[in-house]
Amino acid sequence: MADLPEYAAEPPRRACAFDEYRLARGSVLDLLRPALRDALAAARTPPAAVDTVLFATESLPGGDASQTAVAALLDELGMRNAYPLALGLADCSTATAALAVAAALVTSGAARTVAVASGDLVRTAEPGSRVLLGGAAVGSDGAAAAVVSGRRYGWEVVGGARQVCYDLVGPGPAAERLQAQLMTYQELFRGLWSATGLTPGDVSAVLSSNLAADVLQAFLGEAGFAPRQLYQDNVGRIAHCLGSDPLINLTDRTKAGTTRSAYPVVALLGSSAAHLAAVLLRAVEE
Amino acid sequence: MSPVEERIAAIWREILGPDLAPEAAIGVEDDFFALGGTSLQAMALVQRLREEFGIPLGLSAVVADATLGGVGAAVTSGGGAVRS
Repeated sequence: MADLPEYAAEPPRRACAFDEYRLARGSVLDLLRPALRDALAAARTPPAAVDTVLFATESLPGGDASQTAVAALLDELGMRNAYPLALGLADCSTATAALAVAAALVTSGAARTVAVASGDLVRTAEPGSRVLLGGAAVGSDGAAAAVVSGRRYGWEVVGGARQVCYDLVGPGPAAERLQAQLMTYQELFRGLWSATGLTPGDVSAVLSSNLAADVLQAFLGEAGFAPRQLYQDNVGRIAHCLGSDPLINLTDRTKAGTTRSAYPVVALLGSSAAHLAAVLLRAVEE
Repeated sequence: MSPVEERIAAIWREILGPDLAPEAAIGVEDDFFALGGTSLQAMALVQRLREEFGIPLGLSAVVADATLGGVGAAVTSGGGAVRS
């Protein structure tokens, strides 16, 4: 963090837990490529079986260049049958919302196997500064991917919810913003519990955006979660990889040795200032 | 001003720091946000109040009434007291 001009004079509060951020030298495709490849391998899915790819990114090159770049990427990965679609506009909640969209496509029969590819470069998606949300996040370059299909393997999508508060787009008085943010979080989880029939106590881990640790504890505490339910190990290690944090946290927590049977239900939570998306996952017995 | 409010006023000074003139008096009617507090500083305030008074104070308690008197009442009703 020491090389960020915003923190040169005044380091972030210790309770934020920020330590390092990640800076990519290459393009966003250089991040998406290994993420997609690893997700396909982890899901034991042949690349040619993917019929739809949802790109949750705002860092693709503009115009025809994005079509060319995506075509080359999918060709290189062997995903020659995949129809590409881009999702955006919901900031760091887009990828989590995309997971629920992918599940809906599969459930409806509109798609059989959907890959969700999330990745962004801060210099493209949030030009100007890596210190985001008024200091509540430090942006990192990162990517993650998931494969969603009707095959019971890995994690089952139990349900999802989304919430947006347009009063929070742009600046406003601090007290009103805080009140609106609290209500937005509470509405999101009301929708999630309504959709799934579960409660905060049923969730063993919230795998969220890597916002400042104390900020997220405050918001999620109001929504009924205890600090022990929050996975915040990656806040210090990788900071806020925009929309990719929840999927990265799911992967890293599993790699760190926490077995899926030890936490059968997890919540992915993508947060930005105005947009929130959550998806509940239940571990499929192996 | 009660001992709890006096302690909370001191914490406001810590958190608002350079945004608050050292000689400025904080009264029970003063509002944390009107004194320049940001949403992040409000979260820091809640954290400090939890540590100081050992109570599970929620963020909404501060947002509902951000005057010194209001925050003091929330702390007191939550069981907070100044340790001797």
